[in-house]
Amino acid sequence: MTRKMLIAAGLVALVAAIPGPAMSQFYKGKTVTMIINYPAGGPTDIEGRIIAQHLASHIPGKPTVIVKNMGGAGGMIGSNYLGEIAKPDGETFGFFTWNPVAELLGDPGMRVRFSDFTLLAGVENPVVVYMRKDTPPGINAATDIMKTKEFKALSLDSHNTNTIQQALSLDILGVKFKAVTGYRGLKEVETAILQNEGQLANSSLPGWRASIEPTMAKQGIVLPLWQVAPPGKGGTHPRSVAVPELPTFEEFYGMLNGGKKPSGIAYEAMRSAIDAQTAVFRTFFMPPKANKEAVTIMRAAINDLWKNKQFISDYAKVVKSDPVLVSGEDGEQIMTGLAKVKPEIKTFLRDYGNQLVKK
Amino acid sequence: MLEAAVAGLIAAVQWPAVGYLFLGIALGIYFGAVPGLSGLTGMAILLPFTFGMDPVSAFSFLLGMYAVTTTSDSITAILIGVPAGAAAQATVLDGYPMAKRGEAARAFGAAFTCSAIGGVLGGLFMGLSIPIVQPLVLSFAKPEFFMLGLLGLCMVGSLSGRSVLKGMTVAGLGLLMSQVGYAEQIAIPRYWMNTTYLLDGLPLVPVVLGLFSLPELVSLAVSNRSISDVPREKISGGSGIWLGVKDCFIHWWLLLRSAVIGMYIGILPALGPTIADWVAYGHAVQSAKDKSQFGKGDVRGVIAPETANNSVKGGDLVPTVAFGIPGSAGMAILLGAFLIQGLTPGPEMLTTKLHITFSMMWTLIFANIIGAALLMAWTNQLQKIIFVPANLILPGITFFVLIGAWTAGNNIGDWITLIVFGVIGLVMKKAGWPRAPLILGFILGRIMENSLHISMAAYGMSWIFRPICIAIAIGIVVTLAYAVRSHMKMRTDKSTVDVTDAESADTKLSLGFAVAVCLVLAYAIVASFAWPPTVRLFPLAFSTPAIILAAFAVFFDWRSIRLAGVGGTAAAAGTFGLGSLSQEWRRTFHFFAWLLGVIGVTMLFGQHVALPVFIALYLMVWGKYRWPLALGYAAAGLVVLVVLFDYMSPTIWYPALLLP
Repeated sequence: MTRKMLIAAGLVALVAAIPGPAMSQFYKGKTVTMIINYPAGGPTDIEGRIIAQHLASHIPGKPTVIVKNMGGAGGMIGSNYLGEIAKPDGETFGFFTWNPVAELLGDPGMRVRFSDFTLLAGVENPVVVYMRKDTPPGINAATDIMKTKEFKALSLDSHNTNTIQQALSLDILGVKFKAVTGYRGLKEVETAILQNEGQLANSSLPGWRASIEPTMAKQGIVLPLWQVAPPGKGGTHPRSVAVPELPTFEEFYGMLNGGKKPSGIAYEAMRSAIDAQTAVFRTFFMPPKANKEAVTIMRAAINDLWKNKQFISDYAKVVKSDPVLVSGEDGEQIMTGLAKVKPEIKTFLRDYGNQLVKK
Repeated sequence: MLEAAVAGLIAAVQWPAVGYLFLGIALGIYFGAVPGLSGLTGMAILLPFTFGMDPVSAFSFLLGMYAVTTTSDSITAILIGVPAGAAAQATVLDGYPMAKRGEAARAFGAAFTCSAIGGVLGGLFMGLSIPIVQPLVLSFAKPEFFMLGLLGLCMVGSLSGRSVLKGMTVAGLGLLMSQVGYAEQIAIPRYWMNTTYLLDGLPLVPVVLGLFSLPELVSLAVSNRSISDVPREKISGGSGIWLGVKDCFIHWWLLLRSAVIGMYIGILPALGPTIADWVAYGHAVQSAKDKSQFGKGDVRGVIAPETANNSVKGGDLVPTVAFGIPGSAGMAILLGAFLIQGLTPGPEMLTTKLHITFSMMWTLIFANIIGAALLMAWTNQLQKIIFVPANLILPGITFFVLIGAWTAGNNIGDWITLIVFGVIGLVMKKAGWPRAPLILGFILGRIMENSLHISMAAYGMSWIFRPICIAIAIGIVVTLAYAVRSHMKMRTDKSTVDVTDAESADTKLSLGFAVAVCLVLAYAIVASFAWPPTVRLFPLAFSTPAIILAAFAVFFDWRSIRLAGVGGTAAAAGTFGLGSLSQEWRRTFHFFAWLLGVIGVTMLFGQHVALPVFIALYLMVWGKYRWPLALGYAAAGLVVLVVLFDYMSPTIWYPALLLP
């Protein structure tokens, strides 16, 4: 009896696992449009195009996948399009780099909140903070930052996650710095560091591995200080597997403070802003209330894509490390976590951003 | 180094790289020539195809395509007054008037030849300068960028002809237009009228198409003459081409200077062909002794921008290859190809991979020569278009203008922007206000504000004393002194009139426009007080002097109307006078109503219905052509939409309300 039940259960599982005729037909003959919310040529675009090239063969029915860049307004033109104009029929999805601070504080241009989209999956990504080695009196080890009298920290606009987390972490360490905000992209920041317009900045993993590390770190111009790692289990922040050689911000703080962990409202605000960003740095979104069948198929297709060795090899060639996938279900939990951020933290972040411009 | 140059040459001419080079050139001619596509679109589309290629083949393919787009984009700029890409904007100013004069072949001869020479010089410059250019690139930080922007604004004097006052006023208006959308330093939107579309600022392509192309379309529609004012029998194609080629050698010194301007702008990070062509054009006008023909079909107005927008690409490659700093938007995409190939821009490209760097130089050189030669061979066929009756060609041109504007952002707002700036452009043209300074202010505004803000934050006031800033400041003083001198001379020399259409200006219309500019600037000043000081600083800094200048313009126009008496001079009371709704105005309104109709039908049924229906109805109703021709033409439009914009370059269309 038990054997028969096992066989029956096995058969049910097998049938459930094999895409049914309806499933395999859903995308047959269709064209799926992938919206990228940054212009062509940037890291989001390059990664998105690698995904688009391989994704079609993992979607039952093998639809045509086309890429469309909708950059501008800090990614909001593309996200507004996906939220307001694109139909939720499963034929349009977004590959976005998002801004959790905009989600937390609201933005006059944000017509659809990121948490209202249907998250298909995300790609984890740590952030690397780096500094010019010739910053007086000389940075030969990461801890030498504490010996500096003052330096300039460069970043994007004052209410961007990139800016807020960098400035907060420097304030938590207690170093004196001047925040220079307003750069239009991380590449522009990188150029300004090369020109010594400023001395400290941060970048995403692809930016660090593919550009800054080979052109500036290996030439002895900059030194990586710490990584801002994605959240692990139980509120921890273990080193990312992509940059195992670099201490996390928490480890770095502990090194300077006798093993103590950072705490207080500034740290809480910093983590509120950056945790969601690093956990799902790049996101696959479908419009709100997307067709459920399409969501199931696409989630399965993306999971399947991550098993494709050729894809992983192409992706890794660009970001110089294997991409870590976060499932749609896990990613949605992170998104909903943003809604639980305390009002006092939001007020703190807003005031802090305003203060940075006046500094 | 010589060994690497030879190795690069061998790599570039070996199979399969050479095959990809020719394929790239063919695609580049196509991407450049079709309005709405561009080298940038081409780069984005072709990049994923380079995955399986070896590095030299990949760069031959991409650079071969990219190199020739700024050669072929002059085709529509010259023939029909529509810049196919942003880099051909300045070419329209003199190229199109040459076509109207029946000299399209000569304009092509000059444009293709100087594009090729500019491209070759740019390529050589790239190969030779990469190892030694580091100090130059690294010394141009934000303060130097701001000063360069200021120097660029000084071109306003030369682009304004006699009406320097009006030129400076509209430059202020252009700067104001650049302020629409998020501020550079803090995410506070300015002048956005609660429209998400405007958050990212006004898009350049619809603005330029509206300002320069729509007024020409209107005058074609109203007159129903062919583009060429000269009958076909009086034109000899072959000799025209050679005349154009000869022009390039006659004006070799201008060509060389324009090539240097292009290379120099290329080296500077993030400044690309769009700026190079305007600066080169401004320089050509500024440095010319006889400025009288600029704006009316002076071949020097074609040579300068066409040389610069090709030579700029060699310059663009320098910071891209040497430091991984993209010289322009196209180069940002090329950086993606580096990543795909596992190459790292920087020292590696100057040492172990130097032969690949040199293969890029050879690709640029070959592509520019081959591309220009191919286009030259087609010139006689191409120029036939200028003899076709206006009502027959107009639906096709309008189709491409609409598509060109649409592809800027795939938003209905792009079409509304096109039409709004079409009206503004038409009024400015008829009122004798120069349009080029508006674009200059618009392009430079954002760069200047961002650079000034970061310079102040990073250096305080000490940035003013940086050596290169002082050198540029001296350049600004010299340029201004020269402009004042030229202007004084121009006032005494009555034969000198240039790019402003001033001779046919309607003074009443000019007065109305000046009053409107005053009101817009007054609104801009008042609205800015709602923002924090850092956000309102820049709009206030130029709106205040601009409104004073606009007030002077109001006064001078008012005075000349009074002096001319109640009836005014012929010009003041011209056919476009505000008081009388002439036949010409009625037809103009009629034409804009057609365009609004296209928007309405698009919202209901989508572009695949609206555009072919527009073509067919226009031919039958306005052109009085018979239905078989109208249907055939409309079907051709539909095929273009499907093949070029659905299949070859997937485009997001407006989601129609009534059709799936």
